[in-house]
Amino acid sequence: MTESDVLGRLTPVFRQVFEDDTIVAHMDMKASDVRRWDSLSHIDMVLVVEKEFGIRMSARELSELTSVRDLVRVILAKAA
Amino acid sequence: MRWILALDEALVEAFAAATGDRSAIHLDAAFARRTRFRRPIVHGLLPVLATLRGVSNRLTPNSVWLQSLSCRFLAPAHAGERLLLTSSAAANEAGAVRYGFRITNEQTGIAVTEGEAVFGTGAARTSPSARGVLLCEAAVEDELEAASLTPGRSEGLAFHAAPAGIRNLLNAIDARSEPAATADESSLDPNLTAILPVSTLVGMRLPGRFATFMEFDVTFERPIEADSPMELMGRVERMTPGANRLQLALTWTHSGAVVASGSASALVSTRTPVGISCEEIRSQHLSSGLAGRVALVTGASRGIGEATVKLLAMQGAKVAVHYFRGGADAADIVDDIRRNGGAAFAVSADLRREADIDAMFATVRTELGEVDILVNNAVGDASPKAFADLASRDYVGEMEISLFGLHACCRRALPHMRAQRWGKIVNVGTLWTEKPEAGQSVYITAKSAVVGYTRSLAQDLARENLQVNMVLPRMTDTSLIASLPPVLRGRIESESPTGALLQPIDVARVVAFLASNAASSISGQRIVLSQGEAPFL
Repeated sequence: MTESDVLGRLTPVFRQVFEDDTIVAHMDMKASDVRRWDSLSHIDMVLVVEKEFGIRMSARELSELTSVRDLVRVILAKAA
Repeated sequence: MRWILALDEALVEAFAAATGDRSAIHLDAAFARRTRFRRPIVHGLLPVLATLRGVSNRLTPNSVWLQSLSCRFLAPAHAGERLLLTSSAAANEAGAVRYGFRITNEQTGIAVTEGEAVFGTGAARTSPSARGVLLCEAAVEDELEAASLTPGRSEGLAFHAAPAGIRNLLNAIDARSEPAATADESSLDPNLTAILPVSTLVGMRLPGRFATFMEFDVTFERPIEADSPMELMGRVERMTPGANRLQLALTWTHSGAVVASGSASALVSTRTPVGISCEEIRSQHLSSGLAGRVALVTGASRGIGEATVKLLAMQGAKVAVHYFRGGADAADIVDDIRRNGGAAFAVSADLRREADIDAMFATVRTELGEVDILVNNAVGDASPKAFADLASRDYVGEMEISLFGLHACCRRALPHMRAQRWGKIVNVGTLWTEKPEAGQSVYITAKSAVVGYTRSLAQDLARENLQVNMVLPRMTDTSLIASLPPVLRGRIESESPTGALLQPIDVARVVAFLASNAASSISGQRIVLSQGEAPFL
């Protein structure tokens, strides 16, 4: 799985969780770039990501992954 | 010449009965177990007597007499062991024969004693007295320690040198000798008998039960006439300050005339610590020492601080509940404590302001008394912050409370603690100082400073019976955790080693322990509450 593969699967997740069909996930995207990406929707997003990729985040990862770059890095490491 | 002497407890008892040397190191297993020997040891002179008697018998028993003897006790011997006694003539001199001897453990080969004896020949021995005991009076065991063994101090023992006094001992030795010896005390040289009270003098009187006999020498002027009592006098010559080695001058007198002189040395042990009694434990060591103490807990309006003041109060401490913004919560805590029979008082202070801290201590002094226990639990802001966004003022801001405010509280509490030589300071830190979390640089840096502060202050106060310690809890189930999304909280719980979060009362129990008499030998330490998770400090 490549970064591009992950980004391709993150886009529909983001659109669903953050309720914005215009979102296109990219590596430089941060929480602050997405209007509905707050601390609560972040938890919801991570739970959907876990289901999508068949992985489980630690509590620390759950609370700290506030950039797409970090999120992709963790997904690639755990889904390998 | 070679003999075997089989040692057993009956032989040791026979020596003790004959000589009066009933020193605890030989006969009291419970005492001996607490010494470096761990079990009773055989009198050093016992195998020496067996050796010299054997040598004497090989000569002409009724006409030889012990002129001089020197021996060094190299290792202990114990009941149940077999000793190999060896002796060989070193030189023949005019009217005398010199023997070297060596006593070793037959099984291990370890040298127990070595020495040299010179026997004179041609003595016209008088008929020995039929008296059946050696000592004129039973010796009472003393317990002199190094400090009381000053030069010139002396002790004496009156005794009869008649071999009949040690008849039973000779029989016991002969019965355990291989090859078997003949039990005939009439052939024993009274000079040999006269060396035995040295064991009694050292083991019972000078210094007594704390002695380890090291060396001994004696030179006789002539054969002893065993017809009347003699006296052995020991006098302290010197005491080495480092090793506590006692040097004694020995003098044997008979009818007022000196018949022999010599010296002995012994190590003087320090008093063996005895186990504490249940009675002493019940009367002195069951109390936590918290009852009646005044405890000030900062940041006590919720979480760990709240649990701590309540626990201390329920153990009898009078507690000051410090708060900054949580006045209503502090009031509820005070009410709860008072309803349950405790003494509590709420006091507000901004720990960044010296004047506030002065006022807080003054109020506590008025309402409850001087502070005996200080628990520094207040913290500024532990919420996570991205490192890139942090400025110096963020660190200073946290330090103002977590370190400077803590220091200001300690400074005000210490004069009273120092004056009464009792005081406890417990600083509440975080496991993150040992296992950092991202996003917590300010909080971890401030608490790390408190780790150093705790260690340093503990050194400054160690000689004043004041203890300073720190508790480092992992994530605790406080209102901060309660505010997290349920999924995140559940994940934090599931990732803890026990599957459950640390509760404030868990931390409070450790704080109370550190504030109690039970922790009086702990200072400068970090007590990690990690529920079994690394790091292991």
